[in-house]
Amino acid sequence: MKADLPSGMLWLGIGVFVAYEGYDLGLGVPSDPGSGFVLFWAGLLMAGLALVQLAASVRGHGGGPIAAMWPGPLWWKPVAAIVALAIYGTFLLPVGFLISTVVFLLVLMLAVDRNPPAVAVTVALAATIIVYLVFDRWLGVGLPRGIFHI
Amino acid sequence: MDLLHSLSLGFQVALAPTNLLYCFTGVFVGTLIGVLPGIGPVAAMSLLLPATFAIPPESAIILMAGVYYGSMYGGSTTAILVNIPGEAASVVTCLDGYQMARQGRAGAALGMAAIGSFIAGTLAVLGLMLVAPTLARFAIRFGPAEYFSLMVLGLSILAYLSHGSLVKALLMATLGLVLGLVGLDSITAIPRLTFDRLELVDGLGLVPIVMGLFGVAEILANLEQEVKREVFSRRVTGLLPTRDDWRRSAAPLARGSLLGFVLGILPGGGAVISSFLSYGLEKRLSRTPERFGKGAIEGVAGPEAANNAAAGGGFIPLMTLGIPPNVVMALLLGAFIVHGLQPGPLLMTQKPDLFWGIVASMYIGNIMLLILNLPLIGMWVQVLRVPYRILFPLILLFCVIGVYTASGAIFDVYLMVAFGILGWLMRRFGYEPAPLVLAFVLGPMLENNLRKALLLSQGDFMTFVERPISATCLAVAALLLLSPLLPSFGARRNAIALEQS
Repeated sequence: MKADLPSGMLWLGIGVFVAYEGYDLGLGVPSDPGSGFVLFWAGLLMAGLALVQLAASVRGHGGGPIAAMWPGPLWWKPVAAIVALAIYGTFLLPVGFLISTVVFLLVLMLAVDRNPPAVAVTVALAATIIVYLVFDRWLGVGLPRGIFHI
Repeated sequence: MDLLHSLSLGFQVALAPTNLLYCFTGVFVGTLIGVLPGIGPVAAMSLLLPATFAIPPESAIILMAGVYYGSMYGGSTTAILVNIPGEAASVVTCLDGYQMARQGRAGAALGMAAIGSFIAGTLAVLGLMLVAPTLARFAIRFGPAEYFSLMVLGLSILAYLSHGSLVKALLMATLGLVLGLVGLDSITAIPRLTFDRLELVDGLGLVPIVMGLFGVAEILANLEQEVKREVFSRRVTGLLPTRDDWRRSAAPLARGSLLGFVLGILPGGGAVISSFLSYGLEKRLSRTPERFGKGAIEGVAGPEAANNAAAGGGFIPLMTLGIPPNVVMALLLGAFIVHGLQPGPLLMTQKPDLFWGIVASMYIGNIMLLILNLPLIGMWVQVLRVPYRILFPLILLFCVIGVYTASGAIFDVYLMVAFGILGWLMRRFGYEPAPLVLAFVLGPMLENNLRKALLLSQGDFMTFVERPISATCLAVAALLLLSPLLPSFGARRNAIALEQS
């Protein structure tokens, strides 16, 4: 299967949805376009472009085969980084910046990539403290303190 | 006389100690960002945007502009010494710059890149100074129809020049337009595509989208490939080019500066495209094209001049029309708006100190970069030795902190992660993020101008073709978008795409 076939179908779905939302919001009249006017036409344009892409991929012109899109043996690294980012985002407010950031950096440096533990600990601590001093103390941004109030 | 008076006013602003400090910080951070592969000026400027909230507007713009043109300088160092472009506009510098380094001429390549960038950057500022007032006077006559058509043209040029499928580039631009309309309608205050989420009522933030698509996605893509960085280890000496180097490079520097400046002004153009076109032009004009790719100094001088001149030229449409011609300028527009300023034809008359202060700071910034770059090359080489396995967690941390501090909302961090995943997948499937971001920024303006034009013309769509400027813009846009159907235009677009890839 060509890679552009599933992405074209996704675009078609999004385009139809956006056009429907635009229509639902109200198109207005040409002399006073409504809130959905541009959305409606943008959705239709998207759906039209998606159909062009689908037609090309059905005729065999739509990018490479989908299997070739799948990454090599290191695919787990970006996936692990995404998971780490999502967990960091979840714990940043309740646990606070200092603790969650040190753990986040350690996970990235020790689990997602291989760093010597001493280097990882030093970099994680130093980076967290520097960012805290610059953003929280100097720029007064106010980083989350969490339940431990630190 | 007026020009000299304005410029002296600008220098008074730019030479204020705080602005000098911000200018220095901007060009220093920009050079560092340019040197480091994996983070470009767009992500760096998004990161710095929240840090500028507390400083005066002119200082904020001076800082952000410094990051941009500073990164153009820094990118060449990585390209020449490591054969990896520090940022996208330095890709072509790798071809001959790295070959020169292998032949023991790293110093000459770095010196030519720095001096060429300085010359082009200064010429671009001169051009900006001369062209901007004329264009601003002309732009006062623009109505909503002209603005709408100009934005359509900008998006069309960007889609046309994107490498790969034109349909995919247009899909990205349409998605960006739709995302830009999320939130309350500015005229009727009706919520659109908010799905009853309070966080979406004010619309999506530019910073999380840009950080996700350009920062996080870049790191995710780098993580799945073993990037081997072999830093040029011999001592870098002989930074001043020889007389023969100058003889070979003078014309490419002049051509690159002019080409970059013109392409920088055009909506959709920018540093990346101008550097590629300059390289292609020099190779075509050369009597010995076979030297290109094997260490020809013209292959360094032309593209480096072009990308720096484009960086300067890009300020013209932003500051005179209020329309960002590329993603970097879209971020600068965001910075203007955050500080309660609206760039456009009236900026020069209503805020002359700000306008001319920015222009003057670019002169000063270019001098700082020349002084900074040549003696500090040794330090940048040391920076390049920091392994990526240490750099990427820090860049990710800066992305999260940058997004969080911009809005104080953890929702935006999730949004950034979502756009990071989207950007990563988009690369796999051959979609470019630049049209999305530019359309996202232009979307609300485009909609407003379209609706205003229709209101003023009482619903007559002919208003877009009856007005000469609007009609010309739309005709050029249509020609570009229909170009795949015309064999000669299609072949030219493919040639540009091939050169870029």
